[in-house]
Amino acid sequence: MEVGDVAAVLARASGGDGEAFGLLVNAHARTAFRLAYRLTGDERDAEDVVQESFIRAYRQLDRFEARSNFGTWLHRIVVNCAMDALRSRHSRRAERTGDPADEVPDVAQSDAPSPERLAWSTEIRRRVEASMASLTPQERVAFALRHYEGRSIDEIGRTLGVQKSAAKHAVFRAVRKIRTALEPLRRTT
Amino acid sequence: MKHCSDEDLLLEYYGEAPTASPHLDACGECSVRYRELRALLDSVTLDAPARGDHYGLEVWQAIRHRLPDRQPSWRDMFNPRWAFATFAAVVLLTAGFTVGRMWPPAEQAVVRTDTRHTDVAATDEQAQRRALLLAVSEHFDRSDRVLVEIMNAAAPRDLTKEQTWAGDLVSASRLYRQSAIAINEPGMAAVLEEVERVLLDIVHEPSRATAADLEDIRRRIDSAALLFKVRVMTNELQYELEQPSPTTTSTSTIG
Repeated sequence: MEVGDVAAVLARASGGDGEAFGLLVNAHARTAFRLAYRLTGDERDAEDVVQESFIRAYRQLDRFEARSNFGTWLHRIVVNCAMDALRSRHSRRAERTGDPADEVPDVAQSDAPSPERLAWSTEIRRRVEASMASLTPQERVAFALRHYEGRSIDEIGRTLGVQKSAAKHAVFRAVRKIRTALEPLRRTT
Repeated sequence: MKHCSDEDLLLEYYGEAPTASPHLDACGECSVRYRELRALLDSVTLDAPARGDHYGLEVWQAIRHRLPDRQPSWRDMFNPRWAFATFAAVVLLTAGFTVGRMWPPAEQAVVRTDTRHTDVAATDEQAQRRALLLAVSEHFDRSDRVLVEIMNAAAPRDLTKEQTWAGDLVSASRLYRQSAIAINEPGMAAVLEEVERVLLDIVHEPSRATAADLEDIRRRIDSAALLFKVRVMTNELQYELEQPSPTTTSTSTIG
């Protein structure tokens, strides 16, 4: 059995053949990791999301339509798992600080970076990461899907199970927060 | 003149609603705002850390023992293969039940007195099985090394050494495959057969392999995900070998 024969691999995996499912994991793991990383922004979280996604996919194989594309189906599962991971991270942080989870850190007021020590791109990355951490899970996922993955607002709405307008506003809010975080850098140029 | 909103500019950037374009061409103020937004968003990049060729295998190793058991669904039972298996199981159960009912009681007594002999036979069987698993595990390990050599070889390459290894492995593989079938390990036998076929291809290649020859073998190794299967199987075997055998458990209980 070859990996290219996806229908046969899926049929065997659905019948409980672990080795067949292993071939699917092998074929899709790196793509899943890249997506999970872009959604969570954290290597360890991304690793967990990848593993959890494949376990969920295995549990739900009966629901997979043979005519569909396995990669597309898995994409949606990874997004859902990443949302769960982000929600969990978000509520942990809210519990720790006792503040509303969606509070925006005042990145602009944080210690100014030393130009001698930090490259310009590193500083941008740092601020983007800080602002991304302030996004709600939905804003973060919507932005990552639009900005990094090139998905349309319409697709994002369908993936997240929300109206197109809600997906659009999630992206807008995310961009506004990132913009606020990067504003001081713009002023220094 | 109505200027573009931030939302218009953002949609323009992502190519979602390029209605702002004509206005941007005509309006200097909006054009500046758009350039700023573009510069900002262009600077937002995120490169995922690289994952190596073995990443799929690592993920698989991490989750394979956490996967729930999947039983074939009722829908699958209508698949001809399962239908046949179900029919065969029903026939065997019925036959077993009938034979059990008709068997003379005296024979049962003989079976009970022979329990000790049966235990000894089972112990031998377990030991033989473990010996085979160990041998096959080492065989897969050696096959892995030959396959990796071929995958990494630069052309032109003298393959004489790899062909000698592959030839030895093919002979051993046939024996292991027959034994795997005998102990009811069809998955192991199938991987052995796939490896055997590629090893034979290596044996039959010209000793002085060109880039095209090597590419051809690599393609066959890749398309069958052979290295992945060999590594999964090696790990499966090692995992089983690491488990305490029923023999050991039994002995320690007695002791």
